[in-house]
Amino acid sequence: MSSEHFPRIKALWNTRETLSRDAWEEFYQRVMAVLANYRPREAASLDDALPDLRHQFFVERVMPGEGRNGPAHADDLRLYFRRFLLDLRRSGVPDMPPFANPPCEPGAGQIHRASLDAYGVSPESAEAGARAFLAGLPETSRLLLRACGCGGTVSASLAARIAAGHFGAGSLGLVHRRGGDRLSTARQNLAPAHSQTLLSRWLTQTLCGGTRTTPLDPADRGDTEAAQALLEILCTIALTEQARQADPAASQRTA
Amino acid sequence: MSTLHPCLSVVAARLEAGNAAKVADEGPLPALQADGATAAAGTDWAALPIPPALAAAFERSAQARSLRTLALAPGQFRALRHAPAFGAVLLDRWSPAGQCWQGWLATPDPAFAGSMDMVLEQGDDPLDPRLGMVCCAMRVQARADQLGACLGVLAAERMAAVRWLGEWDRGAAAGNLARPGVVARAEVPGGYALTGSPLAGPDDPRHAYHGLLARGIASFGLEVALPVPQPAARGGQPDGAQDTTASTAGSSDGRKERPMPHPPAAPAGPASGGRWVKPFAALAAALAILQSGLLLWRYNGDGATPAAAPRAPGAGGNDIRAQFRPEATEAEIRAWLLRQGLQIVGGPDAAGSFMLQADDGRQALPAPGPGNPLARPNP
Repeated sequence: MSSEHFPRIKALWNTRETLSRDAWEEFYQRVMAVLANYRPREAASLDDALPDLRHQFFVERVMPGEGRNGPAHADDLRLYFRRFLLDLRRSGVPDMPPFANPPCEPGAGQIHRASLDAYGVSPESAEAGARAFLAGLPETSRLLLRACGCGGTVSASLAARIAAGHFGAGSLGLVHRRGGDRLSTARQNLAPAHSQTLLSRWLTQTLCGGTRTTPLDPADRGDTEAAQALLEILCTIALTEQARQADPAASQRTA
Repeated sequence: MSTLHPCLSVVAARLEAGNAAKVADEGPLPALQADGATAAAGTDWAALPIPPALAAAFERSAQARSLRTLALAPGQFRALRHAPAFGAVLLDRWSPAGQCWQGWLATPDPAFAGSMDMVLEQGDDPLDPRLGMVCCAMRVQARADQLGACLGVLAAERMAAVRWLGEWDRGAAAGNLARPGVVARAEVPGGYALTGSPLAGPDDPRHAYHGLLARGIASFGLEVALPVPQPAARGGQPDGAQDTTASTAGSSDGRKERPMPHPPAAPAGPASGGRWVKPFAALAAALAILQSGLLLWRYNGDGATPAAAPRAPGAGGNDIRAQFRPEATEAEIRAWLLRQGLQIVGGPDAAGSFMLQADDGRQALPAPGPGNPLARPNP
């Protein structure tokens, strides 16, 4: 019964600015429970699924407010939700069409893999190292690597997770790709400003893991060629994994 | 094919008046129609899943709650009192003359970041989850009564990065590829910052996003602030410099602290009361002045004889392509051209570039920076 959630929801609503994480979670679960079986007709004309709309309502209308007039009854809360849906409809802004970012040409690194020889790194060991590096990353970092580092596509279902993941993206070490400069990402990754990131440390460990004692030099052609080859191997594997997860059956067919 | 989060319709809905926080002010609630409202009987509410990203947002909100009652000071993010979901203002300085705070717009949407936006990150904690990025090129000013709770505080070096990123589009100048939704590290003085990539063509959804931000700035009664005078210009005490230096009281930029005048409470007024026209009128007027001024420069005093015949871009061997900062004034550009011995001989083209010619035939322009209006030389 939704009555079990009141006046608790009102109390949580009116103290939003002081809630602990546990209280927020309780608040969210209660609100979702009250709205769970509510299907306003306004939702029918919106593209998003009802659970997504309920979630967006909480994020957009419940979390940011500071009011002292929390809903006293389930009908009040449902009306707030309906108003949110009406605002979505009234905004008149069409959904943006999906767009394609330039891919990072996975596989282009094949011709550069010879550059790894000088560092005692075989393509096989580089791939194994890349797989191990990916496996050690948190799931959000893997998503960011594919989407922002390797030109992978971002579906609507992943977009929210990636947007939230940017908050912790600094330590991963993705840098901006530059036009007309094939080695731009490797050169930046080896620069002092980004040398303490996960990616830079992996590059250094892989290429300097043997006998070499000097750090990699972003101005050295050999160092940047080898680092770029590693990054491209990493992206090839990351995007292959993404494709496999998106369509396991297709991956099995091609295997 | 990729998409960004949130949908633009969600961003646009933030501009609508029907905010849940204001529901109580909108009069009695109309009766709920019988369109599917039923009790959630049997729902085990405590077992409902909480998305990991939302759980992280709850954690951020809980951590930032101790900041909410801080006294106003530079470096703080302040919620917009009447638009808490739309964004916040990162306070830069108090303007005694304008009786307002100047700063930058901050929004919850890092996926829409461009190369002049700084994405906020873990090192900036504690930070309310509605703070996603600072729009370093969107300087705004707000009265004290428009500002709500403190949502976070930015360190001095990060404030310096915000100023630096907002000076001009360094990401575009560096040749970073335009890739909507991509957020990555960019080197800034003393370290790095997470930024978006430069804007792409008209299909880039960030153009529409910026349009919605401009609508929000106008409809929520914010003003577009003029660029801050550069440090080099402060020594000469140009117009407004006294105002600026008197208000740079905090330690946000690492300069010497001095007592900050307590901002008096401004008279309360409507959040929007027709003021939306003002920033757009100012922008339109500035654009018109710039365009007409640039056209006029191409002609001599009699208004008929071209001072330099317009030519197709690239036709002249000594031509230099350049783009000016959007906020650069006609006077600023004119003074700089005269100082540099340059004149405009063509443009603007579709990309907004002008063709310049130097009196001495040189083909190099100084790097964009303080005291010059260039956004990009040789774009």
